[in-house]
Amino acid sequence: MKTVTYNYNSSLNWVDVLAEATGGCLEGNFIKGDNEMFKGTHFFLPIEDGITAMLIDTTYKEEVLLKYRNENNNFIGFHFYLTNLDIDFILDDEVTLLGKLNYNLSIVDCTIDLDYIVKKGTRLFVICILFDKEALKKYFSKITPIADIILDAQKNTVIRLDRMGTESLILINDFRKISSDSSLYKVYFKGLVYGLIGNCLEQLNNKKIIIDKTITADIKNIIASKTMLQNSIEGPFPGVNFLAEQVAMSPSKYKILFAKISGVNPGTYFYNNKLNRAKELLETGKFTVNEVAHKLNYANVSYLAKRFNEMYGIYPKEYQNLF
Amino acid sequence: MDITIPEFKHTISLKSEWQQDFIQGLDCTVVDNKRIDFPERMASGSGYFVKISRAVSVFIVDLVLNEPMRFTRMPSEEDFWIVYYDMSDNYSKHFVDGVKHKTGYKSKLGFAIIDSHHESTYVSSVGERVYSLRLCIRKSFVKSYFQDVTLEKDFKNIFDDEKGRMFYYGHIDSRSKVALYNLKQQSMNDTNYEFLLKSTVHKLFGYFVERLNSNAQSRGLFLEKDLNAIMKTQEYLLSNLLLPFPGLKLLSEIANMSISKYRNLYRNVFGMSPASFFKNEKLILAKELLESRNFKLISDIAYELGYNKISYFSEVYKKHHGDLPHTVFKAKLD
Repeated sequence: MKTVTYNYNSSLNWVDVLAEATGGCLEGNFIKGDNEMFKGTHFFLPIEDGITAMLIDTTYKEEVLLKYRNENNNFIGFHFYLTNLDIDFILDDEVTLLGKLNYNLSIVDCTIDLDYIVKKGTRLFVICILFDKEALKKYFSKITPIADIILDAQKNTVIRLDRMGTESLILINDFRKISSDSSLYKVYFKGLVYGLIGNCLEQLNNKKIIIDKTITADIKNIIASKTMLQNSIEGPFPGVNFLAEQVAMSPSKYKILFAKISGVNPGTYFYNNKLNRAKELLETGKFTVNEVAHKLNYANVSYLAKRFNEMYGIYPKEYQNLF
Repeated sequence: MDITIPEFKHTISLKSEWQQDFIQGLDCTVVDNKRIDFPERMASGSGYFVKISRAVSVFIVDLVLNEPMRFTRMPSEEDFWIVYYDMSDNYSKHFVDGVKHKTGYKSKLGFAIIDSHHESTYVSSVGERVYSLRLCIRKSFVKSYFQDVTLEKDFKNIFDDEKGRMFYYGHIDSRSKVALYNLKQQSMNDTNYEFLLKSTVHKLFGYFVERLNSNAQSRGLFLEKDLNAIMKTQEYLLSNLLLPFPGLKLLSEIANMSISKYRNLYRNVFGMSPASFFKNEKLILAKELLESRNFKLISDIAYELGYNKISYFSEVYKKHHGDLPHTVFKAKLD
């Protein structure tokens, strides 16, 4: 297995090192690479004082061990992962899975050595937001529970693994529609990064449960069930009984667990995602509102319009007209 | 402009010093150098100012006025645009160099681009939530985002310092509206507010530039001259609500346009035809009259408004307001 060692920090002098390590070439804010190991880009951008962000969008052509080693210890990284295959995330000789049905958000102190094993054919899409500890203190000190978790020197191991909220996923998916050639790419990227930080803070502030180091089978089932809901977003809501049965849980347990993980109950989750889908369909300009309502199994247009307006503050027809 | 309302004059600039105007003039308190809290007797709510970069800053106002007040922004020496988004629950009146414009969430035009060299005044109703966001963008900075050719003559003037004193009104585009609606639901007291705001601002800026770069039709911005003409006809309609609909021919003559141009422009600006606007306003007036107790009979009101058949009046009224004129009338009498 090939091994690549990275080194990065919140000031940008690691960029050259990264370019060299990956065998890519530096073009503006992009490192583009296409070799026997991987194909893809790394895009990095200083956001503001003390915050730098990087977007990794690569497809690996062989199994690789990625090692992250850092010499300075003044920053903390927030990582948002979107992958097609699970990645082995090795920490203190313990392996955790990162991926679609596992954790997809990590908050890590830079002093920790991180190893990832990426399988052949993995499409890795990661957004890393690197916070200077000083900058972080400035924002987090106001939220005591977070300050305790994040800035406690004693617990300064991997701070936490988590799953990002639906809003964050929607933000990232919206951003992925923008071409990297666009002159506004950086502007939208900054917007994305700020949005992710904002959501993440809220999540840290409000989250009822902190998932343990290993994800239990139950939680995994719920996550799988969420994915299933996503895939059947155009049809009717299958009902909690059916969903619970599929993952062999009682409906009440299913509902409680689902709400704990997602912050909303299964129905709300489903219908909010449906509306988001409606919004996306309208943006394509290929469908009338009526067609969208029909396609997404709404009983009638006016009901879709009502819900759409509740969610987005604008009626679908108007949304389409002003687009 | 109603000059009986007390006026507060202030400046806005890309840097944060102008907040002093609010502290000294209105007894506002500034928290964290960002949030501006208004004194309770005047308004409940806050403003929020963040400098995003050397060329961009943002100022949000989210408050309910407790006493009438006019906010007048004095012309600035600095060369920037104020891109203005109004998501207020109701109409706000906006005067640029003394000319009145209605903005707000329900009025169709919630978007404006104003040159910093202009003075503008903002008047809002007491007791209603005002929510507006202003992006201040240095002109030279926006310019750098333009892909040269596509800007038409009309619009190029905006970069021309000689003719540059123009401003535009338009609709808030969908994506911006959704982003703003989202932000509107957040509390300024939350720790993550600053991040969410910055996220929104970057998006808005992106949408704004995309909009200016798109072609003229889809840009949905209107020339001041045309807009004033349209507004004039609308005022004519409003002041003649008791008469029958005057017809497109007369209206287009008032606006000094051809009928077809007038009709299309009106529809683009207000999202409905002049006739439907006229009918809606008539029915709103009907409701006011029904509630006013100045009339003994519903039929009097119907005649007053130019409806000859009461049953027809009741029918359209119900279609618009959801219940029969009788219901409102009786409720008031009881």
